[in-house]
Parts: sequence; C-alpha cells; structure tokens
Amino acid sequence: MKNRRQVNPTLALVLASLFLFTVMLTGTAGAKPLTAEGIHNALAKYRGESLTITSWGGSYQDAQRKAYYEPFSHKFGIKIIEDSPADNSKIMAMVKANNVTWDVVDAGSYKCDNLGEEGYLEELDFTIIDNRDLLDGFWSKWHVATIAWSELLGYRTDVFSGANVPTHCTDIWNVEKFPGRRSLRDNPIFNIPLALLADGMGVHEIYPLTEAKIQRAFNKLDEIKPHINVWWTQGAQPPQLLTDKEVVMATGWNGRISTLKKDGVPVDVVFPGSQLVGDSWIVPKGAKKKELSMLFIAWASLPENNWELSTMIDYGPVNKKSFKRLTDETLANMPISKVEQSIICDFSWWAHNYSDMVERWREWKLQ
Amino acid sequence: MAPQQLEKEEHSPAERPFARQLARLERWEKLTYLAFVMPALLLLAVLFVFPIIKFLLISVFDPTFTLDNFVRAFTRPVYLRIFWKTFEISLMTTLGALFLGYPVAYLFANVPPRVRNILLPLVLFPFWTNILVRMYAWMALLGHNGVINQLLVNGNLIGEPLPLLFNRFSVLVGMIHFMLPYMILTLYSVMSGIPNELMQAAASLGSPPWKRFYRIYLPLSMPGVGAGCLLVFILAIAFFVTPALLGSIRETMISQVIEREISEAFNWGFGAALSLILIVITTTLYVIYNRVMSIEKIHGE
Amino acid sequence: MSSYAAGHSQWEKIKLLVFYLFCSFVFIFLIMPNFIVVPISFSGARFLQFPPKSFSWQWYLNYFNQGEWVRATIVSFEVAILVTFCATLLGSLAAYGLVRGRFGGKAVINSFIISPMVTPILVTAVAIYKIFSDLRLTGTIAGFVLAHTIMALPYVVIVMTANLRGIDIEMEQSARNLGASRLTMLRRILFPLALPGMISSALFAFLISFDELLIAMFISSPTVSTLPKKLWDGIRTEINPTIAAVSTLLILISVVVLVAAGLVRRHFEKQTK
Repeated sequence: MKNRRQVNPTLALVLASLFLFTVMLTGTAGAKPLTAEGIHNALAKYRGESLTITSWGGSYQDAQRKAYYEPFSHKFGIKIIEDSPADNSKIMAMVKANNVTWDVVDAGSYKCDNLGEEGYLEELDFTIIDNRDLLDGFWSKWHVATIAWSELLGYRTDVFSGANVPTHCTDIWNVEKFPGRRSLRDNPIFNIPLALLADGMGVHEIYPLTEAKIQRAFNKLDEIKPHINVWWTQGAQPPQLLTDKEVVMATGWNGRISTLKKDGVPVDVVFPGSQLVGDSWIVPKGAKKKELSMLFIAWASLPENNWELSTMIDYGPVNKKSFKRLTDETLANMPISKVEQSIICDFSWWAHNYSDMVERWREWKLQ
Repeated sequence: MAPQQLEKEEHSPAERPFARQLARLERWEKLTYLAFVMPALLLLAVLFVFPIIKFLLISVFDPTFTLDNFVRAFTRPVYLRIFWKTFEISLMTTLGALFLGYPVAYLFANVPPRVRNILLPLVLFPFWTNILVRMYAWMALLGHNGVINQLLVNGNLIGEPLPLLFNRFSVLVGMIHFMLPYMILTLYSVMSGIPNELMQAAASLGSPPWKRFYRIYLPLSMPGVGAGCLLVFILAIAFFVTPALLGSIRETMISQVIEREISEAFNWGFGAALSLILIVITTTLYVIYNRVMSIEKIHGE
Repeated sequence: MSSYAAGHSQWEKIKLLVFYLFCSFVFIFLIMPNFIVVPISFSGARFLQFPPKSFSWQWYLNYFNQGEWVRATIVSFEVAILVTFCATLLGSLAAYGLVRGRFGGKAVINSFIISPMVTPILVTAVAIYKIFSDLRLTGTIAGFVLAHTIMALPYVVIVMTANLRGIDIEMEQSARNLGASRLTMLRRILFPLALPGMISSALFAFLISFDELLIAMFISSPTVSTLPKKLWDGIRTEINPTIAAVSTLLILISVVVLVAAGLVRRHFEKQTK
C-alpha cells in the first residue's frame, strides 16, 4: 500500500546505470566503422580544406595521384598538397619539433609499429577506417597497408631461357646451374628469410625468427657472399643493373622490374620464394588534420578505391574485396596471387628487432 | 744597479701615458680583428653550434644519462674497423686528388688568362652534373659491359672484362672526381699569388729547374697544398652516397652507418655518439693543421 | 756548349710534353662523365640507357612542361647567388680577422667555424630543422640562404686563410703608415690581392649551395624546393632520366654565362685601352 506505485530509487538507479552501461558497451563494441556513404557524408564538411600527403615521388607517386589524390580531390573538393620523399627521420624531426606539416604519409610497413611505439604516430581510428577485409598482418593500430608488393628475384631472359630459367628465388644460390654476376640487397630484411628458404625451410616456418634461425641464415649467406658482385642500397639500382646487364640475377622490388619488362627489356621475375611486404598509410603524431587523415585512409582502403593503382603498377591491393575488380591477367602479375608460395613478412617482428639486425648485418658484411 | 736604473727610466712619468696609449691601440686593433670574425661566428653559434650541441647531447641523454652509446662504439670491433676504413679511403682520395690536381693548378697559374678562361669551366663541369647522374655515368664507363671494358675486349687487348666497378677502385675514382675541382681551385688560388719573377730570377741565377721548383715554388705553394688536402680529406670522410652506390660492402664508411642509425634504425643516441667521435677527430685534425700552418709562417719569415 | 743547350732543351721539351699530356688526361677525366650524360639526355627509352638506342626530346620536354622543375631550378639559382654573396663576405672577413688578429681562443673559434664541414650532413639537417621550425624558417628562401651560408662558410674560410697567409702583412702596414685608412687599405691593397682566393671561394659557395641535397630535403616545403631534391624524387623506384637533361642544360647555361662574361670583359678592356 505504501510503496506499490513508487519505484525504489536505489534499484532504479542501479537498473538505469546497468542499462546505460550495456547500451554503451554494445554501442562501442558493435561500433561499425563508417560505410562508404558514412565516409562521404563525413567528408562533406571538409570541403574547401586541404590535406598534405607525403609519398615517395617518381612514377609511384604519379600513379598514386591518378588513383587516389585526384579522384579524392575532385569528389570532395579537398585540395591534396603532395610532398616527398617520405623520410622517417624527417617525421621524427617534425614530431620532436612540434611542427608536423604532413598529415598522411606512405611508409614502409615494417617501420610503422616501431615509429608508433616510440611515440611518433597517431593511433588509427578504426571507428572510421574499415580494416575487416584487409590482409592479415597488413595493418595494426599504427598503420594500414595501401599496397602489397614483393621482394623477389629478377633475371635476364637473354641469359637464362627455355628450360634453364630460375624458378625459385633461392636459385640465386645455384652458381653452377645459373652462372653469372649477381646482386643482393645490403639489408637483412629479405636476405635472412631467403637464406632460410635456401637452407630448406618452408615459407610458413620462417617467422618468428629465432637466434638459431638467424645463425643458420648467416651461415647460408656465407656460401653465397663471395659470388655477389653488387650489394644494392637504393630501390632504383636492381632494375638499372639488370637493364645494363651489369648483373644477370638480382633481388629487387617487383613493380619496377615488371615495368622494365613492359618497356621491352629482356627481364623477368620469379615469384616463388618471394617475400610479401607492404607500404602503409600512417599519420604522424600531432598532425593538424587528424580526422581528415583518418577519413582519407578509410576512403582509400574501400574496395572500390583500393584497386586502381594496381592497374598502373604491379602492386597489389590489400583489401581482399578489391581483387574481384581486377582482371585475371592483371592478377596473374600480382604478388597477392602467389601468396602460398611467398613468405609473408612479419612487420611487427622486424619493427622490434630491426635495430639489432642492422648491426649484426653490418658485422657480418665486414667479416 | 744599471738594470734598475733602466727600469726606472721606462716608467718615468713622461712615458707612462704613452705606454697606456699603446696598450689601448693594441686592444683596439685586437678588437677590430675580432669584429671581423664576429658576424660569421654569431651566425654559426646561434643557428648551428647551439642546435648541434643539443642534438649531440642525445648521445649521453638517451633519455637518461648513459655512456652505453660510446661504449658500444668503442668496444664493438666493427665500428673501429669502419672508422679505419673511412680514414684509409679518405687519405687515398686526398693523395689522389693532390697528385692529379697539383699539375693542373700549376698550369692554371702559369698560362695566359685567355687560355685559363677556357680551361677553368672544364674544372667546374663535374659540379653541373648531379651526383646521381655522375654515378650512373661511372657505371656506364667502368661496368662489366661498360665503355672501357667493351673497348678493351673488342680491341682484343684483354680476354675478360676488368673488374673496374663496385670495388675500391671505383669508389676512389668517383670520390677523386668529385674532389678534384676543390683541390685544383684551392691550389690555384694560392699559386696565383706566387710571382713569376721569382722563378725567372732563380733561373737567371743558374738554378736548375727541379731545384727551382723544389726550393722556391713548392714551399710557397704549401699553404694551398695544406688547405686543399685538409678540405678534401674532411669532405671525403663525410661522403656516403658515392661509396654506397659505387663500392662493395667492404667500402662501408662511417657516414653510411650514422645515416642508417638515424633514419632507419631510429637510434638517434648511437648516431649522435658516432657523429661526436667523428667531429672530435676531424676538428683535432683542423686545429693541428692550423698550428702547423702558423708555425710554418713564422719560420718562413 | 751549344750541343748541351740543344740536348737540354730537348729534354725540357719532353718534360713539357709529358706535363701537358698529364694535364690533358686530368681534364678528360674531369669531363668524361659528361660524355655519357649528354647522349643519355636524348634517349628515347624510359630509363637510363647508354648508349641510347633511340633519339627523343622527351626529357627536355618533360623538364620544361612540368612547372615544378623550372620552379625548383629558379629557387636553386636564387638561393645559390644569395649564398655566394653572404658566405664570401662573411667568410673573407672572418678569415682576415683570424689571420691578422692576435687574440686568444683562436682554436675554439676555428673549431666553431669549420664545424658545419665536420658534422655529418644528416645530423646538420635534423638539428637545423628543429631550430628553423621554431623560428618559422622552414620552407622559406631566407631559411635556405641561412642554412647554405652556414654550410659554405668553412670552405670560404679555409681557402681565404690559405690565401691571406700568403699575402705579406707588410703591404698593409706600409699602406697604413702612409696614411691610408683601414677601409681604403682593404679596398685598394688587400682586395685585389685576395681576389683569386675570393673568386675560388665564391665558386665553392655557389656550387655547394646549388648542389646541396640533404638539408634541402628537410627544410623545403611543397612550394619552396630546390633542384637536387627534385632530382632525387622517386629514387626509391627509378632514376628519372630528366636529370640527364637537367645536367646538360646546366652545363650549357654555365658555358654561355662564361662566354658572355669573357666577351663583356674583353669589351671593357678594349674600352679602357
């Protein structure tokens, strides 16, 4: 009679909080990233503003311009200011100087986690960016890959042809069957896994690298060291070396060597045994246009946008849904189509161990 | 007795203000010369030395005080080896540039101006060619299928192409080629001050050519030789593009290591430590050079 | 006696011939890479190829069509000319003070002055970037001029000190004793004597600024950028043959300028006669 109609205040409070809490929980947990439409709507309020994107210049950036920057600019009325090259030390200097002039940067994927954990990057906002369809391992809270490409073996087809062609990247070890001048990169990131493959390991057993494996790799590298004539440092070198026939076999990056093929130079690439790596979008810490950067990255990662670059250079999309948009012919040249035969680079392992490995590599090469 | 009298005379009241005036003039003179140095010094101090010291402090404050970076640089043999290699290559470059450059500078100093004005641009040609293109040009010249090897093989002078590229030879060629203009211009600027009459006078006195050169010209050109060698040596130590593109892994130089540590391995502390060591060594060389040059001048007088 | 003289002069002639041959070899060595670069700039291929298999103006067209190449060239020249004046002036003055002056702490001052030369360039770039950011000098012509002047100063000082050491102080002292003011003495006595050194220094300063890459990479902005930085663009994937065209153009310009300067000088010499 007394409190039949009155609600117990304490109980009400508890129930209400529980209700709100549950709503919040399900709300954020189920917070789906923005859909394409959501992204478009969010970008509407940025019309007339500008965004600074930094990449690597040259033909790569030209292709990015056609595939991303111009369409984005056109569609949303946002000016893209381009800069290059995307140097890591400049990012660090910018952040330290509190003068971050770059909003989005295209960086090698294996550096991103390292940069992020040292405090130089903004964490990516996955309530805006949809990462669900991206290749595993090709994104983290610090970066989202924009392209997947391969470090692989290139060779001259006028020297090795017919039945006697290299079929696996480890064939570079085979000096009897494939004699001639060769070149490897002056960097451990592909050489260590490749050496392990040459020593009999399977592509899936490579990562994570252990001390025993590293030692085994260096031992295998000792075998080939005397036969290497050139140790290249810049990405532009292997295609140039092959073009000039300065070497007949060289490891390099697939995109540029494939372009040579299209230009009529007698070279070809070998995918089995290659390592799949990527370039990622990152946002430096303190970037002035943080939300706009996230929106751009989200837009560029949508399946309908993530494929166009691949028609210009043989770099693969990272959004699994984009593959459907590529013709079979284009796909055949994509690193992505050869995934089972490739080593998938463990970016986070390299992020944590790069510094030590660089020193060990330095010591090894001067023995 | 006598010395004391002399002292008293020096400090007689009539002479004291003069001594003071002299001292003031001397101080004024000193200050004027110092004033000449000031603008450059200020610019460097504010915009360079101060920021560099801040950066170099990272070597010991990484982030808290630590000497690990220096311990690492000195105890791991690979770095000592790289430092040694760097000095070796720099020294060879310097001597090569001197050997090739001295005669050319001598030529410049002793030909009529019209000839000189035609030849001088040739010395500057390397500068107009960007370093990347120059590297490619050396590759095209020295490569396995390069111009030189093709000429030699097709002309039946040799059977197998010579290994002219991606080794110590090509690194030295690339570096000396870059440094020659610096060496030649520095030498020339001093040699042009050596009057022709001196050599002619010596000749008329019956001195043979080699003696004339050895005893008169060479010593007078020494400031130029010293400056040129110092310049080239210090420049050479800092190189990293040429050895990276033209050399083998055995030609790794310290600047390549510093560059990698800072921009790839993100070890700014270690990079700073190596830089500091490099700076100390080269600055010491410069200080010694200045001492030697000043002493020589005094002795020369 | 005459046979000795004849034999003597033959030996002299041989030595002279060897000397000229040696110098010619050095000159050829200096310009050899250009023999490669010029043909490449006319190549029809999309990559560096020597010898080129086809002829094309494409790289020159590429240079003139893309506004940013021409802009970068103009910025490079602008900065280099300003740097030449500043560095030669400041450096020559400093060298004069160091050589003639007698004050303590010279070792320290000397170390300060050559510090830009002995510091690894990447370290310089990072350090300068920080302070330029604070002073809002990044992406400005003034910033470039200051940074490059700093880089060029050590060279100027080293060359000028070597030069000035060779000039007798007595000439200056006698001029002063004869009543000339310091300024007059500098202008009429020292300057003409130091001119060869100043020309060398000026050339160094110009070329150091013009060719400078790393600092440019750090302090340039998308709108204010120099030629070397533009030339390194894309190095990760390819070497753009436009750089061969640029190099050829630069050589052409320098030859034209020098010929013009020579003609002007001769014209004036004729007039004063």
